[in-house]
Amino acid sequence: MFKQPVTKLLLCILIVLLGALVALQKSFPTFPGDYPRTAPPIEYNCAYFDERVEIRLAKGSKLGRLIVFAYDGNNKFIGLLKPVENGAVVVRRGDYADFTACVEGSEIRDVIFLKKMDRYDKKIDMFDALTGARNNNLRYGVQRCLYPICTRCVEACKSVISNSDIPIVMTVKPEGEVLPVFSKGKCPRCGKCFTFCPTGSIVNSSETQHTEGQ
Amino acid sequence: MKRKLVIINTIGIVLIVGYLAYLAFGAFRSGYPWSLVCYNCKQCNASCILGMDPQGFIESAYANDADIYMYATNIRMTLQKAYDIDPGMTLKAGNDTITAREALESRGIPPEAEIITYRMRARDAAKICLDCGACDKSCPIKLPVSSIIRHLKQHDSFGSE
Repeated sequence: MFKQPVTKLLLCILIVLLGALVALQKSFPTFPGDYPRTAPPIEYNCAYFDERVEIRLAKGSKLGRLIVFAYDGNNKFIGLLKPVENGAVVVRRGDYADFTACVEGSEIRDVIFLKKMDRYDKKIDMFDALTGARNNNLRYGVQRCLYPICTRCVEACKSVISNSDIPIVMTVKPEGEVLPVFSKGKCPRCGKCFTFCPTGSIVNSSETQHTEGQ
Repeated sequence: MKRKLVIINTIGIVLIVGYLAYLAFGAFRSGYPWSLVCYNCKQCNASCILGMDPQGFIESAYANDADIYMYATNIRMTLQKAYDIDPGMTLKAGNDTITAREALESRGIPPEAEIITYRMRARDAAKICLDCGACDKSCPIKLPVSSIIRHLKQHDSFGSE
């Protein structure tokens, strides 16, 4: 029976497949943990006044700080890190943006920090950016994730997975906010991403209720 | 005359070496001896969204003193909160740099006003740090700056204090 060429070929394929499986097991570590998932977006209400925009949050924020963002006509992401005080973020006229970034499709890149020490390279009034985005039907809002400033989850993942094919991809959502998206097939379930995430944007998938600091 | 100069030189060198040895001793006492190798290139400074100068944390480890004032030029908070953290914290008010105490007591700025900080103690800055790890990534000699920050966050001071 083993002298048949078809049987030999099948045996060869079986050996190659087994070899590939063993190699994959060695290069792809798995842990008995849970998959990460992205926390639901922040619910908020915006109230516009003459000299300020008040963004009232439905829930508190774990970090106590959020990124307020707005897009301009060139699809540029303009961001400002603001503290949450009494369940609200207030953007006043004269609050200048901290950074800008270029968005192409669902990718974000070319981050430029606008403030150098106590001086601004370029002043972009966040109040004007927000009201401009609202008036021109462009995207604006708040986001919990600090990407592109913070990349703790990506770095943590890279420390586990040796090749560059990591399961976390930072994606710009249709609403304009940047969030990590996970590819479960590639995730080793080490839990480092949600352990290291300082903002609570990534949570353990087994958590039934997202808990946030008040 | 020549002998006098030799003596002055020798005393000077001894003092300088003694001072440098004292600093190195402080770095070892804080538990972060690698802080001696930071050459203050300020690469980390440019990467911090909060405008912190992470070299300030290294400096505080170097001197084994968590009360050293460091630059933190882009932290927004209410004046009352700044005052509660440290009345000696400096902040920007227009073109002036004033302390939180001056702002509240002399200038009459309302306590609920949002201010932007300028300089604060390393121990306070560590508590506000977002722990994003940007300073670690930008360090050209890969110093684990954030390990000092996490230490100060948890213990408020260095080991031997």
